[in-house]
Amino acid sequence: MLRVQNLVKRYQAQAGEPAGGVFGVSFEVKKGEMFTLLGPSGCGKTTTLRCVAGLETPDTGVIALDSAPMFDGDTDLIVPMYDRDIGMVFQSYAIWPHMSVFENAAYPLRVSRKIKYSRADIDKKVDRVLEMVGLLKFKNRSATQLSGGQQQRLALARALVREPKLLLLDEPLSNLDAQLREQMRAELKRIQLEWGVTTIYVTHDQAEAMAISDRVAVLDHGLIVQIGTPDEIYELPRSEFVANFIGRTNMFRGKLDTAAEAGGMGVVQSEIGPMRCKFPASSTAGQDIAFVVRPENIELHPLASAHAGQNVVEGKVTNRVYLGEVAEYSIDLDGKFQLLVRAPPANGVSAGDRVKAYLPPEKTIAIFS
Amino acid sequence: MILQNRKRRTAAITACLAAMLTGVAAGTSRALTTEEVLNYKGADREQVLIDGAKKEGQIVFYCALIVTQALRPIADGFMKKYPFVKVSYWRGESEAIAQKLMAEIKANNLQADLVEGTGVGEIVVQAGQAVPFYSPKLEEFPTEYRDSRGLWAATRLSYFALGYNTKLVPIDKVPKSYDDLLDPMWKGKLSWRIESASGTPLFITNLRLAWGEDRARAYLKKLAEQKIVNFGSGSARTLVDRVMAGEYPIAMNIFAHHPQISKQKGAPVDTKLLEPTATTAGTMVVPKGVRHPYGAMLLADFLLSKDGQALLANAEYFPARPDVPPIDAISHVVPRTLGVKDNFVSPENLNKYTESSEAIYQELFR
Amino acid sequence: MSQIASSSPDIALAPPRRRGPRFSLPVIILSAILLVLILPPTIFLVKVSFYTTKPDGSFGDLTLKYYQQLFTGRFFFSSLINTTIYAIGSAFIAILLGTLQAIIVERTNTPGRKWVFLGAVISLGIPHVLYTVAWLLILGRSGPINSVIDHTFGHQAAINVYSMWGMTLIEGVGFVPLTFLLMSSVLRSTDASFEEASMMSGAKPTRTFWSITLRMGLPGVMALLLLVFIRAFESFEVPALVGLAGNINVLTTNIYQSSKGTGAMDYGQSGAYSVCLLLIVVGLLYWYNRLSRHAHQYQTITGKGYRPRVINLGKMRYFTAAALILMFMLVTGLPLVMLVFTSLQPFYEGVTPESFSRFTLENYRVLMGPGSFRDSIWNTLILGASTSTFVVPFTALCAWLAVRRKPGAWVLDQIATAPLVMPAIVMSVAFLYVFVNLPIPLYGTLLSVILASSVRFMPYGMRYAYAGVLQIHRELEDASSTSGARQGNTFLRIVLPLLAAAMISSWLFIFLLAVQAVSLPLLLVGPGTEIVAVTLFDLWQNGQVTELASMGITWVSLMIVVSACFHFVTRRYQVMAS
Repeated sequence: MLRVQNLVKRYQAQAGEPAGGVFGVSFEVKKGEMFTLLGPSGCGKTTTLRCVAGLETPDTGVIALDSAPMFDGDTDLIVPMYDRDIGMVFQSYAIWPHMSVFENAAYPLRVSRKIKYSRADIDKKVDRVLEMVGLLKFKNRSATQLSGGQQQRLALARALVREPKLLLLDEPLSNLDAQLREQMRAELKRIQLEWGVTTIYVTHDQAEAMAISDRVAVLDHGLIVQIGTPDEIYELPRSEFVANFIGRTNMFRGKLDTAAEAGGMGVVQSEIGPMRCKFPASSTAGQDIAFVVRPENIELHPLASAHAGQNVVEGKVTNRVYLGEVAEYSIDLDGKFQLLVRAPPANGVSAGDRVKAYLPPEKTIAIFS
Repeated sequence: MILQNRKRRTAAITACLAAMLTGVAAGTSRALTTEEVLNYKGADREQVLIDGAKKEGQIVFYCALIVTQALRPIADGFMKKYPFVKVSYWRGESEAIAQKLMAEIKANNLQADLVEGTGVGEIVVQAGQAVPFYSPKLEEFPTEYRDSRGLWAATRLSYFALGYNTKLVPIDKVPKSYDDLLDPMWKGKLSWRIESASGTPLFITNLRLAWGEDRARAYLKKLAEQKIVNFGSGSARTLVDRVMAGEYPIAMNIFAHHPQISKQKGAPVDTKLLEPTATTAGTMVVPKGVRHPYGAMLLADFLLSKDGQALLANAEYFPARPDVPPIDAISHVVPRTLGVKDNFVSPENLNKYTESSEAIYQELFR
Repeated sequence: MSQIASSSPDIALAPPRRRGPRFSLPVIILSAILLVLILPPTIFLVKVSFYTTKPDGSFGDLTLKYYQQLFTGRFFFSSLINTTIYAIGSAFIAILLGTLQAIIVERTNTPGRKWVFLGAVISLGIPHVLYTVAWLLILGRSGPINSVIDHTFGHQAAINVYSMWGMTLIEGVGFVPLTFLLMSSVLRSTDASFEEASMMSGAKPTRTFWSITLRMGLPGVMALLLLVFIRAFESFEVPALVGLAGNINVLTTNIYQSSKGTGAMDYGQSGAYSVCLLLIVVGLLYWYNRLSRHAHQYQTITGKGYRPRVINLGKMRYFTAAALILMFMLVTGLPLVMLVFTSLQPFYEGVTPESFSRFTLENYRVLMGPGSFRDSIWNTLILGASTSTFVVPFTALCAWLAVRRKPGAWVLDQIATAPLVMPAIVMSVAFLYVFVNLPIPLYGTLLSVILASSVRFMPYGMRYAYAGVLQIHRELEDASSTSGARQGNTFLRIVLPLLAAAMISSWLFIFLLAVQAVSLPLLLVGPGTEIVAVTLFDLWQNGQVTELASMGITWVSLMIVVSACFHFVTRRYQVMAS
């Protein structure tokens, strides 16, 4: 549906500001998919989005929508943004204050040149889209009289009214309060499914990305570091960056004993002892390896328990935070390393206790350091 | 220049003679050249001009006269007499007229047929862009009010005098001579207009011409001690208004008739002529390449006629024509009726001396 | 519902464009128009400064003497210092009072605040020379203030207006309407949330104003500083009318005094001075344009919907109302009352007890008589309206391209601002030479005057528009582009409406200045095309101050009517933009 290949867009560094941009981004978005560009600010996700929208001209690369090229750096082909059949929702919503709610939503139809919409068509389509976002009863209001959430819906209605091939959402929820954000997130997902519109979603909020996306691309410093379903990204991070950026994690370093196959297991001689890890990619013996393990995947046992052997470490609980369903334990591994564990609160472990922690090999994921 | 003009005039006369001869020979009136029209002296002058002007249909008049009081009544009066000529006029100060006219001449896009103003005439003459013309009415003017080469003719006169506030200047203290202005009691109380050629430069030029350089200079040096207020932007009329308002007790070198007009209404202001009184003339000239020579001459004749001059008089100007008196309100500031000696600063002299007089001002009075 | 997406009609896209050149087409076209309009007077200005001018107005030899005279003249340094004090002082007064008014009007619930606009229009409607004259009448030796002091304290002529403070005050106060209009359009389009955020952070209103409102309105404030400061450096009327009489020279009057005697049509020194100013302006603009690099800092019109903040002052609002009245009196009321008084006098002799028994309508009778400005009013209104109507959208487009950093568009701003430093007389002579030499019959027509006066007032339009565009959040335009609108459509449907507040102020401002301009139209207009400027000029040159005043009052009344009509027509947009 959408193919982005080797997209490069460099910004010139200005005094005091780091040079931003993207340096060779490639991904494909399937029809009807909700695809998220996730990353910290300055990672290039918004730049990528703006390049797709046509608001920025990339330096090189290819952008193709439905196999029709939108941009091709080799042939200098640029389809202007207004010819790209894309709808976009901006971070600031960009609701025009001088127009009514109806006029804001009708604008894309009014300026359309490919199809001339009749007055009745416009009324029908706008009403429909306003109804969908729940703003029909406000249609004659001035856009400035809407609340934040309503403006957000209006921005979405405007982006969808001409039924674009592709919908781009640039941090659409970042300006809303937490409660409203969750509500809107669900609604976004509903509307996206209902309209079946292919969507690219840009956010820096990993929870939001996890909740809403079919697939996620994690960006860092202008490059995509991992693409996958939310599960894959969470469970099998391919880099330190991804592991740290998506949720909380424990990470340790070491060397691989014997070569490991992709998807197979291997033993890492690590700073906290030998650890059996899962290897998403094949590795050779002696390679520097780091591994990560999510706090909720670690099992805690009393020191006295019979649990012993592989993938077990000993330590002292320095802190316990009760969170309701779970409790978070900070475990000091002989003064040098810390382990974060999330476990059921009713396991009888309290601060000051010495415990054994079991890192299940299936959940201990090796990454290249 | 003069030699050239003489040559030109000889040529013109020859051309005239030749034209008359051929005209007689052919028994028909053939078209006159522009030069011939401008200098036509035949008895049928008016008829010839009317016939020609009818064909031309219009004339353009560039003029420094006030529109409402003078320019429009003159244009209206002229068009009433010669309804077949449409007069369109453009009003500007002398400098602007000169600017516009020179630009038109250089671009070969001349609009003006006749030009009237105080300084513009001499600028056009100096630039060699004026052509000689003749008007029978000029015979009735004193010779000093017309150019011996026929390049310009005076239309109106200006007299320059002191204007003073009658409340601030007691009648017995009014300066009666230039020397009286040196009295220490006037220190800081005198003002003059530094803006145009008819301001400070004229004041200085007048004394230089009348007294000679040395005496004038000695006097001006003493006058500079008086710390005269240099009145900047704003016309001579504005300065008189300031005197009336009591800002300055005395204004030097303002138009003699301005205080009189206000005095009529009861304003506390009056005029005092000093001897010698500077007198200048507004003149008219015909630009080279004139497009409507018949109409231009018709209007020139009209302006210099009793009727035309009367219209000027009504507009509170002093007519150059001796047999047309100014209106009563201002008639008693005419130097010769008061027995005051006037000094006519001819356009040539005004132009010639302005720069050096300005230099004297810069040196002594700034 | 996936059929919806697929049902979107698959119509061939417009032919894809190749990557464009470094200069975009609209920029090239606009630059060409600007160059055609502005280059001739600029070249003339430069030539005037480097060549001697012969008495007939043609150019003579190449020379540097004008620059030499300019910098080595006897009074150069004293004039330079005076000019600097004068410029800083008047800019300070203008910006202080104008901004204060704008804040009270736009940000408080002070009763009667909307009337300030009327006050601004009235002051702008008074021809500038008359405004100066009115102030001289008020503060003059025989004026009411000195009379009162004389009567109560026995000091004669205690206040001497012909002094530095007199000049500075009159010039500064004269610029208040400009600063007020510009600042209020800036404030009106600033989202309240920025200020609220500051107040919520614990900042007092004054602190909020300094660090938020002013900061966000920086482009507007800078534009103002630029305009007022440069104008003060270039201003001539006030220094000539006020300063010269007190023997206080600024650079312009110094040049005027020393060049007047060297020949009637010699503008060499003032040309040289203007060229120097031009260089300074180019530098200032370069610096000013850097603002647009950080344009996002000033984007106060965001897509989140803005509403201006109105502070409920409680009882304090009577105090601010009093402040408004006081400022109105200072800026508009006093000069106007003085002009009315003067216009009803047969002659002006100060405000004396006798003068109150002399009221007469004679001046108005003369003014309304046949052949007065009655006939020229239409031409003048056409001149003003056409000038504004051309300049305002044109500069809006230029400013938009420049602020959005369209390739090469910075040139537009530079060119369009050049006329700011050109003396009206030099510009009119330059245009005279342009039009008289054109093969098309434009010379002497009203159209030629409209073109020239458009150039003259272009810098003002440019500053209004530039500050306005800087305030528009980029995403509001991006949203239009991604909605499928071309650049042109985005400009017409999004940018222009959002600029409405700035453009309306700009239109009115330029209109009011263009109709009262004298020296520019005077030289360009042809025989038979009558404009009010001629009447004004005649009265200025030969009329008594009482007649001049009656003309001023009549003129102001007319301007109020015109502005009221204008306000009525544009009310919809003003409501929309606020």
